[in-house]
Amino acid sequence: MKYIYTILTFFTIATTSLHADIIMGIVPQQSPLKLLKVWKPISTYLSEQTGEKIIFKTEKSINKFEEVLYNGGYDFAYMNPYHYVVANKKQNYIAHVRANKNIRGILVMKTGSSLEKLKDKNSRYLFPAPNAFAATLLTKYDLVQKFGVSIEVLNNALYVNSHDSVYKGISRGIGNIGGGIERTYKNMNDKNVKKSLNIVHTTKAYPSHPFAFKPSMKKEVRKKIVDALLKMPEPLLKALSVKKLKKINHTEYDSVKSLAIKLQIMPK
Amino acid sequence: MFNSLKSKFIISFITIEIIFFTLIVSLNFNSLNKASQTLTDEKMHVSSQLLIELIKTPLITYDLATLDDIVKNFSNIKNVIAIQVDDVNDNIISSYIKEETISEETFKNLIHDNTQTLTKDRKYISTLVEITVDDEHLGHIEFVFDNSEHIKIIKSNQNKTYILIAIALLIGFLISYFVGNKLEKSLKHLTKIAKDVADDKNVVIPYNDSHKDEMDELFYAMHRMQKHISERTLNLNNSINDLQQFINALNHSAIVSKTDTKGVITYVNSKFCEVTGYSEEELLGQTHNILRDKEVGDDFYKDMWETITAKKIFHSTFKNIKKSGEPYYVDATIVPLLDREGNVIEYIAIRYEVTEIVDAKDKAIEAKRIKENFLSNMSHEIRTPMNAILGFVQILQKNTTNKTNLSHLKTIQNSSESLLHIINDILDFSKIESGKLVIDKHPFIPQYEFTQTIELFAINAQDKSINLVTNIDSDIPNCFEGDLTRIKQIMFNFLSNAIKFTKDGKSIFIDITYKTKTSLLCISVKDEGIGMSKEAQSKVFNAFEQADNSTTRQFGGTGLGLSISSKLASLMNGEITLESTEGMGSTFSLYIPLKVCKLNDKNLSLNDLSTEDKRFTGKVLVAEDNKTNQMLIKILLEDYGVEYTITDDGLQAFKAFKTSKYDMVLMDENMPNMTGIQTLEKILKYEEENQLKHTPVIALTANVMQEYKQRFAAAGMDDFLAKPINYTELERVLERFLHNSKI
Repeated sequence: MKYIYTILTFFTIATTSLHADIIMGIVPQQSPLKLLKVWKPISTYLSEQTGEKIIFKTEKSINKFEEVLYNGGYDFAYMNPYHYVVANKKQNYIAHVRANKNIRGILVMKTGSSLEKLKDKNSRYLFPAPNAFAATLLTKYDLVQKFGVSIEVLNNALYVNSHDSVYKGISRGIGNIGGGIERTYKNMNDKNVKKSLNIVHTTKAYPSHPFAFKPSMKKEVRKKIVDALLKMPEPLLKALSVKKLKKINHTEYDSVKSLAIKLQIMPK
Repeated sequence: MFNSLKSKFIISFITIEIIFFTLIVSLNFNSLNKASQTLTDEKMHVSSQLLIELIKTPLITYDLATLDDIVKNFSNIKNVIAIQVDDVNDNIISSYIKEETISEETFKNLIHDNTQTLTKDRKYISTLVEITVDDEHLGHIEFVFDNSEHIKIIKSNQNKTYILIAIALLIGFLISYFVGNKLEKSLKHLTKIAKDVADDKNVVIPYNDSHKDEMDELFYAMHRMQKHISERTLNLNNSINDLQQFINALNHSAIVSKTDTKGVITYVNSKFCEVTGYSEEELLGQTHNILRDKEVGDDFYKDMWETITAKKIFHSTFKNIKKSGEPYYVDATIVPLLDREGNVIEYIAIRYEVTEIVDAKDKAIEAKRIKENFLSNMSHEIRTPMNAILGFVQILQKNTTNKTNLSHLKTIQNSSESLLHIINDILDFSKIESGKLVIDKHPFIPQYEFTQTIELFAINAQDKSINLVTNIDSDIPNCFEGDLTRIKQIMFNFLSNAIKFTKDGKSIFIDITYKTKTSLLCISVKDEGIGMSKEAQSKVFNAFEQADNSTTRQFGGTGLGLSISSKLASLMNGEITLESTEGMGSTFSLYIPLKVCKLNDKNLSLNDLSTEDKRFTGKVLVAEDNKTNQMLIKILLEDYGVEYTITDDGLQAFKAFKTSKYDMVLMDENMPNMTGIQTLEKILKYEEENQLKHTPVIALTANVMQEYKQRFAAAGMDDFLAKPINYTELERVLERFLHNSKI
């Protein structure tokens, strides 16, 4: 009996080492609940398609996500373009797949608010997170470039964790101007909130969020995942507000990289 | 209506049920309400605390999306119907209202009023909880809790309880009605039975042996009770009937009266009136003093009264006086009648007139007294001439050598002794009958005495060629303490009978044994005589009876011998047994308990019983009025070599006593001028006055009754010598008081 037990133990360890869990990190741009609803079915789909055990993982905040990502904590991850250029630099994550669309940042204000509020010293700016690519970085860049408003100078920004919180915060008077992106704004379910907001500015288009893979992942595994992503069924894509995913070359994010450099937020 | 047992039973049962149900239900409902309230409060408290913890972070960071999600998810908790989160500036930053249950307006009103009861079955509770972090106020939450479900559960519970109570009451009513009905029916039945039994009607009580319930047991008990009552009544009637017959019998035979506790007569029967001569009216209300004889002392009546008041039965025979003044005797029994507590309530006296019996008894006592006196006198009167005859025969025998004369003298002696024997028998029988015979115990030597007695019969046996076979157990002790005279008397009787009834050439076996364990001496005399039939054996110990009448004719005798022997044996705590076969012979055995004593100088020794001729030295004064006796005594004393002075009466004797010194005085009792006792008194007084040494005085009399002996001893006589005087007795007295001088 003891002999059988030893064999079983050995077999379990061996199996585990052969088929290690693949951790799929997702940037917490929305509330964790919403993320779970969207991404849990995708991880299940990928596991079924690849035969690998793919585990969905997110963090409490974007900051925490960044910390884990930059330390190579995920086998592959869905992240914003800025995160990608930093992760690529730090851990050599390589983007292989992204939505067949570009990303634009937007500035929203409460309906009826004057654009003058943009420059009002008492105005409060709401952003999801300091390094949210389109919602924070692109909008901040345009605010400086196009409206001459430096958030850092005003020191009046509030980071409210998610795009939805930005929209709801503006709607409920927590802030006066909020940074977001087109997709999240469009996906916003709360009609009362949406009804009370106006997009006052849209930034230039940049490549959207990539699925970047850790270089240590075996090629065949990565391929299986990439293939599965590219063949992802429509209901899952719809939940992501994406029409289609496409295979990409990581050089597509050079524009992002140069922007980061301009914003002086590119790590050395 | 409510007086019947059934109604009372039902009302009591239902009332108790209602009281208990009310108490249980009110306690239950109260507890349920409290539990529900506590549950709601706790649920709201826990929920609010949970919500606060969840929303703290999103509230601080104004993560409204997360906040909304939390609020929305929280609202999924059962019974939470609206939540609102306000920031520190009271701005509503998140809210959720279940619009299907509550309107926004109602929600706002609730926030103001806290609690709102919308309908009887619907109640919303609002609560406000502050949100603080490290004492920094962040805002507050308000949420509304729908308590309707709890109310509904309670209501449902109450309704079910009410229905169950109603069912229980109904069942209780039906059971109590059924039981009460059965109880009432049974009790009515029992009441009717009891009335019928009381009216002495013939009732059959139905009962069930198996006793299904208490009612069955009651019916069975009633049945048994009725059975016992019937039996008791029958016994009582029989007893009353018996008692009535007893009373009738009593009234016909006895004098019956009743008195109260003070002794006042309350009832007399006709016999009472008939005997006393008083009418019932004259007696009722009187005490029995009306019949009292003045001769009956107060002590008698005091004793009677003390006995009956102590609740004891008094019984006595006493004299009463009739109305006519004529005395009569009654044998009365007075019984105190007691109540249940043992107190005397009255006395009943049952008397029988016994005047004739008392008279007869008095006459009988008188007759007996006369008979005893006659016997005593006869004894004295016959013994005196017998004394002379025997004495002179003995003297003549000593002085005669002619064989023919000696033969004649022997016949005279035998006839005289036989006559003396008959007189002694009659005298003994008379003494035994009157209870005056006293057993006089002295130490004696059995071997010697029994041998001597048997030897007395040796000549008679030899005359008839009868072989006397004697076996005296060698283990018999040397000394017994007993009445030797009476034992010898019995032996004498046995032996004389044996020789009398044994034919020539046959044998007589004498066996004497003593059993130490039982201290029983057995003297057994077996003859080969004519024997006795069973019938004759049963009569042989009766007085004046012999085996058959022809025996008396053929063998002579009074028929008193065995009767006296048997009675003497009884007086000595022993018995006589008889074994006899007709034609074969008889065995008479005497069994008496005897104490063994030690042989010493003080009592006796064999030397004293030496048969050799004896001589004595001393001077004897004789007081005897009868000249024949004087002569006899003279000869006897001379034979023993004793000096003597003969006087004719007491006066002469006293005179002689004063003038000369004597070693002993032989004093006849019945003498002219001065009796023996009077003379003794004079002598004693004289001795005392002159401080003289006492001279022994021996009573000399033919009166051998025990009471005379006692009288002499009491007067101061030193010894007693019966007339007719024989050598042995005289020798004993001389030996005691004079010096012995052997030849």
